[in-house]
Amino acid sequence: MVNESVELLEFKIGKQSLAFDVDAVEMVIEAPETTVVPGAPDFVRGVINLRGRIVTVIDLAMILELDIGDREPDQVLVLKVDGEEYGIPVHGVDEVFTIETSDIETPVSRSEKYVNKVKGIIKREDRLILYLDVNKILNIGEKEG
Amino acid sequence: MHSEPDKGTRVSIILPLTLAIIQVLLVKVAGNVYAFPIVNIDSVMKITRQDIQQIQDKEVVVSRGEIIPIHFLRRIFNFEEDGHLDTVNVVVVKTREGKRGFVVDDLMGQEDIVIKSLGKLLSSIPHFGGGAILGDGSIALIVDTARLAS
Repeated sequence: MVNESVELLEFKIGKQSLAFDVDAVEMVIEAPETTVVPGAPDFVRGVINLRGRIVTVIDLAMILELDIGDREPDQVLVLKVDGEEYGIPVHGVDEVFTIETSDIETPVSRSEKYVNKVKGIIKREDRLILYLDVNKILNIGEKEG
Repeated sequence: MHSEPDKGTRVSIILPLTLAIIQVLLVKVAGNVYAFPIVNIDSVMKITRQDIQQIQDKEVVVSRGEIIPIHFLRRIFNFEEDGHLDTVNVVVVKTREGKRGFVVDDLMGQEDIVIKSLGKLLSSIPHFGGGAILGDGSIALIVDTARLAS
């Protein structure tokens, strides 16, 4: 059996460790000033000016109902999917790591908020990391919007 | 870029046709800046609260014999209302159904801006037709007056 591996970027929202495919992540920036867009879906925090481009900022903490405490996210992950850029506020980016697909466990929860959005769970040192499906998360946003 | 020794350098920039520049009126509502395309604007007026009349379920003002329904942008955008002001600025726009007035906090002036898309996720919301980046790097959302008034 051939073992495939994936390269992931680990980051935090609140205390939860999460990961995206590193290929989807274009850059990480300091959280810029966000312009609120009235009438936008709830999970859209607003728009930011990213080097002259207007980029939608998505509140992943709200989509996954994560507790972020009182601390505002100080960094923004910029994702690029199908030529569109999206910003996701996070509380810090940890590292990029490679993992064999056979080491990724299947999701434990079938709850609505996780179904389809989580590709798996990764054990790493003492942490449990939610491995998220970038496309599904952004697509869900579109349907609801 | 083309250079010739002892003569100079010619820099040519090719601009894409889709780079649409429009003139807008910048306004402020609850601290945020919004842009009204000048082509849609009929006039701008200052009115007092007493000028606003209730008719049917609409608030209107009568200006030069015309009845103009007015909308409070703060209300449409779900911002806190600012009831203590006695006079308010109204931007009157032309729509297919006639004139409509939008109450804003402040008028900031006219500017030429480049229209930028708000992206796939926000293209379906009815309030805005796009965005623009202002000189200080902040974003002004361009109000879609036709859809906002209906």
